[in-house]
Amino acid sequence: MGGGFLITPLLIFVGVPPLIAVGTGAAQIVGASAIGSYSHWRMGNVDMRMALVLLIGSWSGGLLGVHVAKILERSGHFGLVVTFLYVGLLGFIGISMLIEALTAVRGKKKAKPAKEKGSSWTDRLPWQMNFPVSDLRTSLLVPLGLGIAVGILTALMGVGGGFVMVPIMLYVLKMPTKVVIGTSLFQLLFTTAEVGILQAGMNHAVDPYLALALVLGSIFGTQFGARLGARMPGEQLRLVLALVVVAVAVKMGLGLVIPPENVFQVVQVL
Amino acid sequence: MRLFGLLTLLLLPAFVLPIAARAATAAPSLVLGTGNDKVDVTSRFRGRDLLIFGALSHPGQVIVVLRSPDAAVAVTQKNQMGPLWITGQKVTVSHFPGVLQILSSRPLEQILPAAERTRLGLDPESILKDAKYEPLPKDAAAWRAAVLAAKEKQGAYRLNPAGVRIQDGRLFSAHLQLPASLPLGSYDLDVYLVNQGKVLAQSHQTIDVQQVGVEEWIAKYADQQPWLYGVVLTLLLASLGLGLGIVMQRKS
Repeated sequence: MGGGFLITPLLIFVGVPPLIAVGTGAAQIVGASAIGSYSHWRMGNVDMRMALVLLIGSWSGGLLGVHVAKILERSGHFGLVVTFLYVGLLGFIGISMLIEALTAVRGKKKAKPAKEKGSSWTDRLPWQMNFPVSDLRTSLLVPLGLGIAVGILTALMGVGGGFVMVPIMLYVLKMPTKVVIGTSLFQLLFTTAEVGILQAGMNHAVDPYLALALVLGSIFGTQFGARLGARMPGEQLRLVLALVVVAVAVKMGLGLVIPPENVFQVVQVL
Repeated sequence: MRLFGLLTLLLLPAFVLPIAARAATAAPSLVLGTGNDKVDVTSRFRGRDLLIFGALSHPGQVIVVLRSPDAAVAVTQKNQMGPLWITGQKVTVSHFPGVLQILSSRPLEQILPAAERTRLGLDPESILKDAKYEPLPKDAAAWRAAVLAAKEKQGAYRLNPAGVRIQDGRLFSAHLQLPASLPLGSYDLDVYLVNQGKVLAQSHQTIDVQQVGVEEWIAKYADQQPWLYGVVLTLLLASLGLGLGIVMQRKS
């Protein structure tokens, strides 16, 4: 995961206007995910056919999302929509992570999802297609729809969408794990690149200095974090991350219910 | 720069006092100096102090006014809907000065009559009187008050009735404080010498607030060629990520 789903809310908390936070958040993922994407591509972990279908979807979704963002921003409702999306999304992710981490810390065995052997609903859709690298035959509509959803999320929330894509690829499409990681990284690199360009071109919503600082920070942070993470037990690390995610969701949610000190918000227009 | 300003301030009597003494019988006048007439805004700009100083031919009170070019703000209002606070109307307010600082040696209302204050634009209530609201809200007064409050909080609007120091009735100095976020362009600096409710003399100068160097170039480019800017920035971020990543992988 790119961690974009934490960067954008934090930018909003420190006072970056929501549209700039979302646009810059998407753009910085390009830099943050470039190296991982490249390495996985070199190792042959990218299912190109799958990635292309996903990209057709996510580029359309991204285009649609950036248009929606523009309309919402003009009417002044973008910030509100972003808040709702984040409260819902982070609340959901945070709570599922929390439950998973707590069961893991307590040492209970993880409940294995019931293994399906028979045909799933995806097999009955039209336009079945072979994806040899993923060792998979499925309908074109599944990756296309997934791509569209991810593209919209990238445009409206400034996230890479890995947290949506990875579970679906793993559990619905049942692709091999390393292909899932390679393919999702590869496609989110190009999706965030498209959305970054659209956000800059249509909405003037990418701050160059902020984007550069975030890319530098995430690259060095990843190095540092990897060393630190090696010395910490994984379950506790996941628990901490889950708590952070829930805390951010709660903070965003409180912003909706606490009466504002000032009902008017004034933003400089350049 | 500030040292230079102070030095000039100290040396000023030597030049000005003889002239001022001679001119005492002639028309009142005031000589105005600034530490610098240019303010460079970079990405690290966090506001700035400006020293204003000068000499007076006649005794009196001094008013220093700094007014920036027009700015625009977007104002949104939150409305309560059930337990939630929802963003309602959004109004763009424009055609009013983004920065306005009025410093004086005594409270304005003690040294100038109301009509004169309005004529010179020194009335805080009149700052937004020509502002345009798009779309026009029902109660424009509430929105105007919100803009004023935000500007004051940001430090863009400052009214300091004790901000001008007069020494020996001949020299004055004042510190203007520019906020971190400010409109670019040519600022008007006006200084008035006031006595018994009348403006005896005034002096005008402009101060250029401009983005400089790479910052100016990037801002212009991002504004005028947003698509090209987006493509270039995205490629730059990708190659930065890739380059640094490869370097770090080699290291470890």
